[in-house]
Amino acid sequence: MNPTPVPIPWETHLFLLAIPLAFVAAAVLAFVLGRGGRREP
Amino acid sequence: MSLDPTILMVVCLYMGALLYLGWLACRRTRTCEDFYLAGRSLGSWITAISSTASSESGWVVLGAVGMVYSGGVSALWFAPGCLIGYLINLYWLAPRLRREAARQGSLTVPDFLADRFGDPRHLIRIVGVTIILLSLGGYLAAQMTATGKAMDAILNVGYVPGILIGGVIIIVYTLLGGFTAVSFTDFLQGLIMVIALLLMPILVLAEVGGYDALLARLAAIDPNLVDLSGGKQGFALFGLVTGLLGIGLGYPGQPHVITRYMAAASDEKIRQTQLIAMCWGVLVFYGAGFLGLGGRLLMPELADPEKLFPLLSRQMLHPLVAGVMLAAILSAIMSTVSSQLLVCASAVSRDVIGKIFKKAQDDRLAVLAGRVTVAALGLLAIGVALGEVRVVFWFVLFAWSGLGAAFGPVLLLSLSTRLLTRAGVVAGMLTGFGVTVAWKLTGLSDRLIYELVPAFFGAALASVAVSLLTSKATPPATGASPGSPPA
Repeated sequence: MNPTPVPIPWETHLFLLAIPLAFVAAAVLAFVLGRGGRREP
Repeated sequence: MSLDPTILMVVCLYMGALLYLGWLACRRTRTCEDFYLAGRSLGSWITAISSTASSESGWVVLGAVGMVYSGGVSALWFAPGCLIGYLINLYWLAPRLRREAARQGSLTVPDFLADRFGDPRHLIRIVGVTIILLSLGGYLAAQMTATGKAMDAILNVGYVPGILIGGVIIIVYTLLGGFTAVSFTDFLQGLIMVIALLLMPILVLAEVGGYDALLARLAAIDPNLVDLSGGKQGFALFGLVTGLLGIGLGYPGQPHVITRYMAAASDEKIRQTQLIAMCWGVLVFYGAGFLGLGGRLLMPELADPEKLFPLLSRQMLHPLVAGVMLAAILSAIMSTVSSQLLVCASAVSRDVIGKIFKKAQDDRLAVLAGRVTVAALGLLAIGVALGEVRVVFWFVLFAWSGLGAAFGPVLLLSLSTRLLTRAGVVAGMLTGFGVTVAWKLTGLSDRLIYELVPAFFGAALASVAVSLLTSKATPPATGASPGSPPA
């Protein structure tokens, strides 16, 4: 008989999946918003 | 373990590629600016991947993987910590530093601070160079030790021949091609690292039955392995989280990383660098984390968890692919060694010989002085590494803290405000380095909090306080404006 599975805390999923995706999303957003921005003199 | 000839062939090809890139870079190195900053001509891919590869040494592929293997999900707090460090470096420091360093004609970090605040008595240079040599000297020797260990583990050549082979290859390509060679080879090494840390976790996840099965099986072994607190509570938990997140504070002060931004060709290249480097960081840090988590299930009884990556590669992969994976470990270490070696050499040849003693002023002599210093410091590091073996991870963190606290706060403040004075910069550097050493030696790092956190904020406070006290006596920064081009 298999032992009762231990529940995985929701914050673990957030930590392992959402946080890395948030970093990538922030970088993409900054890149897109920065397009056509400041140019060198 | 016997050596597979295919693995040997792949690793030899990789070493040959490094030397070839060094020779190619040598042909492009004519002037002092070429040798120390690749003629300020780096593209976005080279800037992004070479800077990140040089900041992530063997501790990502060996130390961090082993740390997550032992501690579970809670050990992965280092990943957001490092990525916050990337954000500070890429979005705050990099664009401002590139612009201002180009405007001032600065080639090294002490050069930049001395040019910006005026340094008639060479105090900023002397303090800066001393901290670089004390921190990076140890760091360099530790990385040479790691090179020897990795060469021995991969090629079975023995520890001493491993250091000699790896060390001499690094010295040769660095002295031949200077900054260009180091950037090209770091780019190649960074690519190999990200491929390895993408491929291995995918294979490991497939082997253990996927993401859900990974967490369920880890929780069955010990529920703390999938808990963010790792079973810790109160101050122990606070120490764990702030310590791992605090690693990120070290990024803005690493001369071997931030000089890469000074060498970028334009603002546009920096903007592209930001995106590429952030994606690289996420893949590498979380790849190392998932590899450590999955490895706990596939190799549960490892005596030395830092050997998980090389052992799993050999067990799971065809020798040809395993050779590439093992080259990734060497890449992680060698990219950091060459960058640190060049920064140490530039501190001696550019700041001390060129600026303080006013010798080797023309380009030919300056490049020669740089090459001789690379050879001398490289051989010295090999000699130190041959004498003593230490645990890589903690030695690296100590050097990381010293540089991060000494240079990070003063660079960030000097690029963002007009507040700092020359005396404030010197006070900030000395406080950052001094608090790091004192905190570590008194054992407070283990009992209270990771030394970089108090040292970083102490240095920021000291530099501002001393600047305010001396602002009437000393003229403010000579830079036209903080973080913006001259009018």
